[in-house]
Amino acid sequence: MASILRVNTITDASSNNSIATSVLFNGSAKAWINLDGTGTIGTNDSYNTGSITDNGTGDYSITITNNMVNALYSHTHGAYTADNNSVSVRGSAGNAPAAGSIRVQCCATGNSPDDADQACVTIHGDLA
Amino acid sequence: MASELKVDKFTGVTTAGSILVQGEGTATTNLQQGLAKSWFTINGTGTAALLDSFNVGSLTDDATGKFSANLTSAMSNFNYALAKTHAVDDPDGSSHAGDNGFYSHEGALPKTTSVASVCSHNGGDFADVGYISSSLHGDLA
Repeated sequence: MASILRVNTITDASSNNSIATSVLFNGSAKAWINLDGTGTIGTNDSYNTGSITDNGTGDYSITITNNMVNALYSHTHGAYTADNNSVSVRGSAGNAPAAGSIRVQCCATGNSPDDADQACVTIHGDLA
Repeated sequence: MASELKVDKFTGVTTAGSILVQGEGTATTNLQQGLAKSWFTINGTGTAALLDSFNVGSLTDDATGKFSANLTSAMSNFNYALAKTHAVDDPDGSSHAGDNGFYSHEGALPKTTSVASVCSHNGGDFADVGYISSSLHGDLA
């Protein structure tokens, strides 16, 4: 049977490593995605993200299923490529994050757009 | 009334690996999916070393600017979301003028049990820098 536990602080049984439930919640990522940006893009794995859109080389839009409360959340990135080129992910120039979506760009060295084998985005902040 | 729960392990009732947590507003979030499964900070200069970490057993200096943090508890696959960054300044205070960003793994996909973190700067040449930080979200094995 499903149940709800209402508590302010969680501590291990030895009374060590206590954490406030507010910290637990605020510290949890509210969404993350690992997407394949090559060819027809696809989601490798994700949490709380919905559809993804390929806007062009290295240019992806990601929808957030349960919206954030605003667009002021923290978004961090990572990427992998198997083609012996370095690649990074950054926020999309001219496209600010929104509560329900984020647009990112993958770039190779020299800032040229590049499709990453894996483009990762992790979001922390407040849910709506 | 403030309350405190003392426990060593949480397990979901309906699904063992799924516990919801009430959010700031009306939405809930999944505890297991939201937690970082590993994080680490590396000093990549000199003898590379872990400065602090969670779920990392050891660090391997693969080559200049290339490091593998070996996870203690493995992930279930390599489709986890990895975020990384590095500071422009090294722990010794030296700076990397002309640093053009933080780059990631080159030449191979991440592995299930280890994370490779690579930095390049100054036109893409790999270089050892300080304060390389990374976090990892996904499914544990």
